[in-house]
Amino acid sequence: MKKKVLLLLVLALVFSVSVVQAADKVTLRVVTMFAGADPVSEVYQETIEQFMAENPNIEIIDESATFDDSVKVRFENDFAAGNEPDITMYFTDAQAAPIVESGKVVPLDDLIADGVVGEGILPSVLEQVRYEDGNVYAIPITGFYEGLILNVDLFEKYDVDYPTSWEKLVEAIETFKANGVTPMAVGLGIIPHYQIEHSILKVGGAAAHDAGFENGIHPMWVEGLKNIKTLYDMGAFQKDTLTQGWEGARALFKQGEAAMIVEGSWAIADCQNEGANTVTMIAYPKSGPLGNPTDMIAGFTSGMYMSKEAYNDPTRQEAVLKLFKTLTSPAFIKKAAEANGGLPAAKVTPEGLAQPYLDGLKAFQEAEHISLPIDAQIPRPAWTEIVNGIAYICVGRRTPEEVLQAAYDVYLEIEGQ
Amino acid sequence: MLSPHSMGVIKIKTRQDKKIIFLFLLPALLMMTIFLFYPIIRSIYKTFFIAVHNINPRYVGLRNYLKLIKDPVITISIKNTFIFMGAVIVFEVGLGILLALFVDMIKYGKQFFKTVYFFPIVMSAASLGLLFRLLYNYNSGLLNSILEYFGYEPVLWLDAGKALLMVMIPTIWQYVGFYFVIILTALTKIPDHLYEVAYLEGASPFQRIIKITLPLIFQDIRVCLILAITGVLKVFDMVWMITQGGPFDSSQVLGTYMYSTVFERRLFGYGSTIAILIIVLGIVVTAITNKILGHRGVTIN
Repeated sequence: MKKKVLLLLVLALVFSVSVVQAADKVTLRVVTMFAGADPVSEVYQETIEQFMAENPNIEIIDESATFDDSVKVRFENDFAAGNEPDITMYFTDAQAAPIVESGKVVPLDDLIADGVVGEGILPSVLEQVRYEDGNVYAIPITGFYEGLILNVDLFEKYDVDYPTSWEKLVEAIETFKANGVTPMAVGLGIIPHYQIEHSILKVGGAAAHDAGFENGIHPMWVEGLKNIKTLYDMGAFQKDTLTQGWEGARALFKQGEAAMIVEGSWAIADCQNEGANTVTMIAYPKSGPLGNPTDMIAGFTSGMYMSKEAYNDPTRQEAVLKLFKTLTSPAFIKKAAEANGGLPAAKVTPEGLAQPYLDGLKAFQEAEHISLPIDAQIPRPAWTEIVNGIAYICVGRRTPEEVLQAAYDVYLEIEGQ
Repeated sequence: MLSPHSMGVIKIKTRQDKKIIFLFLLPALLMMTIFLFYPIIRSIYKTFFIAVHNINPRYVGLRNYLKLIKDPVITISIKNTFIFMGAVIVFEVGLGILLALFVDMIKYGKQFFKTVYFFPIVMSAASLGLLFRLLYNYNSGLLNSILEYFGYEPVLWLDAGKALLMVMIPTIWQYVGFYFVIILTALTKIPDHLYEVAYLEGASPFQRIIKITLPLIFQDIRVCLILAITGVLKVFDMVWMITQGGPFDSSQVLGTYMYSTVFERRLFGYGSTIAILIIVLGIVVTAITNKILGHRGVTIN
């Protein structure tokens, strides 16, 4: 009896394997940032489902996730260990090193030149994501812009002018403080990234902001960090800013208890809190002698990578190319840009954008200079040293010079100097 | 006196038996080798390199160890870890013993208290951490809402002066039940006649606890202490969820510092060096604890 059962099981196994082989089903593993609260996640899911319906022989294992640090490290280690996904959406800036230098992603220049991939992608966008070795490895979907998001309701309620200059910013801070409203929601304790780059950009100008560490510590970076302390001393931030992260700051703004927040275009939808607050975005005001009022931080710092393993596999090449082309197609890029209000990487015009996005895009179009964020320019450990030092600077326990020197020392150590 | 055979214990005599024992132990040994010993050896190897993003490692000799000695955050983390250790000995194990003694004395409701005290253990530290983070929130947290209701000023519960205490409270609260259950189980082993004799000889309840209960459960207390002390070296999730070690590293412990070094700063070599420090500290502290506590205690004969 037992023997018969065993025989049946073996036969069932052999049969199922042969059925799978006959169907010739290709499995692709995909990782993107379009998950959780990301505004594009719905559009992305629809695209994936439609793709699988049209291509029954391709099965997609979607491992998209919200990219916090632990998730980033997980995928970095996947690449290091040879367990890379077939298509990965990842960063194209300084954080791209573990992906590109693993040697496991396809350089796309030839494929783009031959028209195999990259249909309709703007050449200037491709230039922005070109890796330091001269190759393009990723095709971006949407870019972002950062600025000062304002709670329009609060500005109207207290009859405050939009902070288009340092003087007006100070005036707004004083008025909101006097009325018991937090002027600016900032999480200085954890991830005060946007405050850092805007202070440096608007105090020292684009040239200083974009200087990196190649020629040492730019004096304007010191002035930029001092500017954050000036705002802190003025009482511009919420009382628990030193123990807060970006989530706490954003929650405060969403609840209508803060009038301003420095954030990116990806946060606009969340900041609106389903219509409870009317918001707009303007360029962060000029805060020092060398700053430019219109300059913005914006650009393309992420894109879709294709694994060599899948591309070089004759049985999977067609499938991976098909999906890669779908996810980087002008049609998908248009939908993504309409969902997140970001800058489309292809020649498409997003439709039906809400007013805050139109305001943000207008500010972006009027910008005299566009800079990539500082963390896109310097190595991660050096950047983290600055981020962790901000709270210390604000309470006077460390000077901006000390924090930047520590970051520069880390930079030198990494560079082997 | 019972012989080993009459008790059902079979003595291992032949080489064949030893082979069988080895075969049975082999799977566990393999698992330990793959998931514990190999990673430790690999971590030791990585301490000699600078490896940002875990790629392109560059040999730097003992530089990571020298950095470890000079790193002020390591000093803070070790100090905080030892403060944590003191707190768990006194409050986690101490309260566990007290609660177990009290519950053991009551006639009704033992099961109820067992469930109530043990309940936090089954919840994940991450969700408890999130819960307490919301409790401590300055603007809309429960604690400040209560204070404001009674007309008091809200308090910054997670400032540098209080952050460590605020993360210790939920950690201790979560694990008191664990030690409570171990001690309560140990108490059931003590035969009632010992207490009856003590009672007849006029011993007070306090004397009975000091002279009979505690000596008889000393080995269990010892195990609890070692578990609690070594557990502190692994504290991570609660601290990470509530303060991420801040502000100003005031609530930084070794676990959170290692995590932020690897996952935020992406310094895999230096992160591995901190991991090795945690292992060495664990071995040293456990050895010292064993030395101090020894194998005292009384057995029931």
